[in-house]
Amino acid sequence: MVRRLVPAIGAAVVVALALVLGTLDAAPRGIAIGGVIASALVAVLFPRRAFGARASACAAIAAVSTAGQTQLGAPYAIASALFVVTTLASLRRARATGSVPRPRRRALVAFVVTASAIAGALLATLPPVAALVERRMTALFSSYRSDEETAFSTRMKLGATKGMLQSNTVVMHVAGSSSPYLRGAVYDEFDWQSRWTTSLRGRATTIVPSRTEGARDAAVVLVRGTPDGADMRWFLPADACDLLTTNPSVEIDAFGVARRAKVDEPATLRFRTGCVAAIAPPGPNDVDIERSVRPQLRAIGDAWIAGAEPAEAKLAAITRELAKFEYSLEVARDPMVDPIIDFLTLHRAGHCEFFASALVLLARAQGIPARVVGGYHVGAVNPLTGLAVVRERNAHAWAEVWYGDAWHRLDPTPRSELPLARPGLLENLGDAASLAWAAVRTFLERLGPLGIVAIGVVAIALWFGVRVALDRVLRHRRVRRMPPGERPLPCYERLSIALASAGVSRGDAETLEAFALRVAARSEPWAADVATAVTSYAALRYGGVGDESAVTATLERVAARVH
Amino acid sequence: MKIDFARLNHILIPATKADRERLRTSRSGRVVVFLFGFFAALTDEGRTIFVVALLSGAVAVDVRRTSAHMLFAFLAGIVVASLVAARTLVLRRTTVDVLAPRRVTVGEEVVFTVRCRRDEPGPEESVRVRGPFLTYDGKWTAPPPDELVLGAGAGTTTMQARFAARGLHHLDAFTVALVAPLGLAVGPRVASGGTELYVVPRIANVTRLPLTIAQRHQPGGVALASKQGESMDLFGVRPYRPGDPVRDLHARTWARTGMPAVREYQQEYFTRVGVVLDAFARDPNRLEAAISLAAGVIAHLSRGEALIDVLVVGDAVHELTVGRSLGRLDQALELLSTVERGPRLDPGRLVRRLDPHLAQLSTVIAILVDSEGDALSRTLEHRGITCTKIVVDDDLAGAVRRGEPLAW
Repeated sequence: MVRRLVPAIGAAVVVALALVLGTLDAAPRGIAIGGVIASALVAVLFPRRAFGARASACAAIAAVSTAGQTQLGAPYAIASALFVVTTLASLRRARATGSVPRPRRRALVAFVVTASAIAGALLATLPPVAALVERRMTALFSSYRSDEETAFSTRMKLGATKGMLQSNTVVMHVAGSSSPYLRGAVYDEFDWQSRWTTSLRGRATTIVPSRTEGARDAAVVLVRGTPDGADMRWFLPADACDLLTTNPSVEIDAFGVARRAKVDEPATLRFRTGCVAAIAPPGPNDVDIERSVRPQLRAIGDAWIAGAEPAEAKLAAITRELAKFEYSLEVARDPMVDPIIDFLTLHRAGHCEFFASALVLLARAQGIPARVVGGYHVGAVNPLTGLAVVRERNAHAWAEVWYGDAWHRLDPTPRSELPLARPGLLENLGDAASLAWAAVRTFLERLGPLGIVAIGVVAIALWFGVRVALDRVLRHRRVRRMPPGERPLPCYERLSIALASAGVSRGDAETLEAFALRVAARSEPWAADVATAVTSYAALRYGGVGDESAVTATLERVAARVH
Repeated sequence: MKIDFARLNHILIPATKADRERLRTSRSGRVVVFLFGFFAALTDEGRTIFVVALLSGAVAVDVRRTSAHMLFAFLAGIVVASLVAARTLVLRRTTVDVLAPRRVTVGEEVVFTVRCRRDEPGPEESVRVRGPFLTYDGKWTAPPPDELVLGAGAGTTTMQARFAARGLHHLDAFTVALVAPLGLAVGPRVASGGTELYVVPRIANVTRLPLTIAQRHQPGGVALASKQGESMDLFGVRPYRPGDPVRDLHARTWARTGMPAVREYQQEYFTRVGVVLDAFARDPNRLEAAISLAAGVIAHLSRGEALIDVLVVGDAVHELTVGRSLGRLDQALELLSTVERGPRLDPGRLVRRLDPHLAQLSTVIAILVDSEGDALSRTLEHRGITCTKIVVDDDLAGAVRRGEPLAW
């Protein structure tokens, strides 16, 4: 009886451990305890030994699995490993009569080594894989959010890039050397709902004239823009110029942001770097602050800059203070407090949007024109493609401030916290594969349906050619590997080769007799002799009828004739 | 129309072992065997633990905040390790034989005795015996057998099954394999040959069936006598007449009377019966009852003086001789086990088919399901053969099913 209760006892120990060490919620606690009780009851009540043992083990495993719904660490690992082994041993006993003989040593070693290796590998890899999957899932669902939340449209809700900053999705590729900061959106208006808006009313837009020649040192391959394909932007460094376009479809707004007119335009844009940015001087929006937060921002700024002059010194002081803040994607803001005030006074933690917004608003409070710029901070170069890969997690926000009659970039986000983690080999491989696939798609689109069909036909013909060649090679190999008694006579092989060269070969499922009949029906002068020889060979090989030397001689003679 | 879902479930599985082997060795079969080979290598416990491991993996999906993935890791590791270890457990020089009766009655339990024999010395090892995948009507009636401990010698275990449909059943091989540590997987299997089994109809309990035998007796003839030559059934003795065989002289009578006397033998006569089973039935239960009744009638007649010469099922005329130790009931049961629902009975066509046999038949017993058989009866009587009709209605079908004694 005690032996039948082993799974229940083991589960009870693990569940007790979980109750002592962890904080198990009420529901899992109830299920775990219920599982232990069910396991014991099934073991006692079910008369069919094997079935009862199996059901009891299942209930016990369910209990232990439920007990693990909290962080328990190594004690749970050890306890559950012991539980699994004892439970399975008891399960085995239920199917045995008497004592169980010792397993073979080789099997035991293979079992222990493999089980340890796989369990160890799973324990080591599951947490990072789960984290990766979680990020992917977050990115997947974040792509369904509205335009407003992508942070790269004309409006941006403060904190909206949090999802993007956890995503590994490739956005674009950059060739050549350029500034790591690629601008895609400039926000100058900040409203009471903590939304940044691009205010382009009354501002001029430049159409880039078509230009197809000239040296360009950098290129951006835009993989995708906003989720719905509208308002497609090029993410260019501030010093980009001489854009290489085949038609005047690229326009540059007053903030220096380049937009594509149509989605189906070529996806690669070449440009030159090192130019002076053609960005309009500040307007009234660039010094405006929402009235409700103005006094607090003014007070904070005054305290931080402590009377420093001029603008560069003030900005340096503010940046210095912001460097003491913590970078975090998981800050629960107080809903009753403005997010920027919350960031500056309560939690003192946030991600790049908060750092950039805080700097811009504090600068404006000190009378310095400033605006928030959204874009990407280019990460590592994929060594397999030679292109810098820009992923969603490289999304970034920084500030542009006006002093000395020019716009200057200021990035107050702590540098160590920029999401620039180097991609691993798998990510690089995946990126190279997606680029290759994009190239294949482009190639197929250029080919058109007829071209694709033609290539398909050629591929099928090639496949059959390779198969026929392989069949011939493998057939010889198969024959060589046959045991001596089953191997066809060499003279028959010679005849087969001679017939094949004459365009007659035996089908895979064709009997020798049927083959002989088929050959006999041919018009060649040797056909009748070949048919007779094949028939006599079949009689010798499968019926033991005839003299081997005579049949061999006949086959040799006929093969020579066919040649 | 009733749909036999059990049969429908097996519609893609060939009925014979040879066809199933052909399917397994086909390209698609090989792909399926490759894909599910690992599942076949798992024992019942292994499959249970495999499913439980998957479920525990689903429960443990929140790896970063819970610990349940550790249990999943151990279970998955042990399942995979069992499969790996099992590949090393090859059972060498071992043969498996299955002893099973050739026939079993529908619904009755059949016992398969599986004997496993190892011809090389070695340590004792546990082996698991696994039965074949049964036909759609089959069901194992006992839990799988316990592990066998196999040393250098033979081990025997039994498995019980029950079949619900008549017919010739081709069963796949029984297999034996060594068990991996912890018993979740088994090594490469050693298989027995296939097993063929006739599932024959239940024999109705016919206790009395008088035959109208006065019409015509057929001589049994030399062919049916126990030895070549004249019949040996002694009729009496009579005075010797010139020309009588000398060997028939009866010495005692001659001595007693002083006159040579010879033994006189009487030729044997048999009542030769044809049994006609109408296989047309709308209700399958009635057809089953009719088949059982036919088996019961043949069994009853074969115990008496009559000889059953012809069994007609639907349109098919089967010649057989059962009764008086000349044939075995099994022969008729095997024929009846394969009866399927046939076309409506056509008396004219049936009599034409019976024509070669009518000359020797004394009487015909017609077991009818959905027809009264008057036309058949008239046609046969016109040819001088009496016909006994038994119409299987719901009452009679119920009595047959319940095994009640049936008397006419």
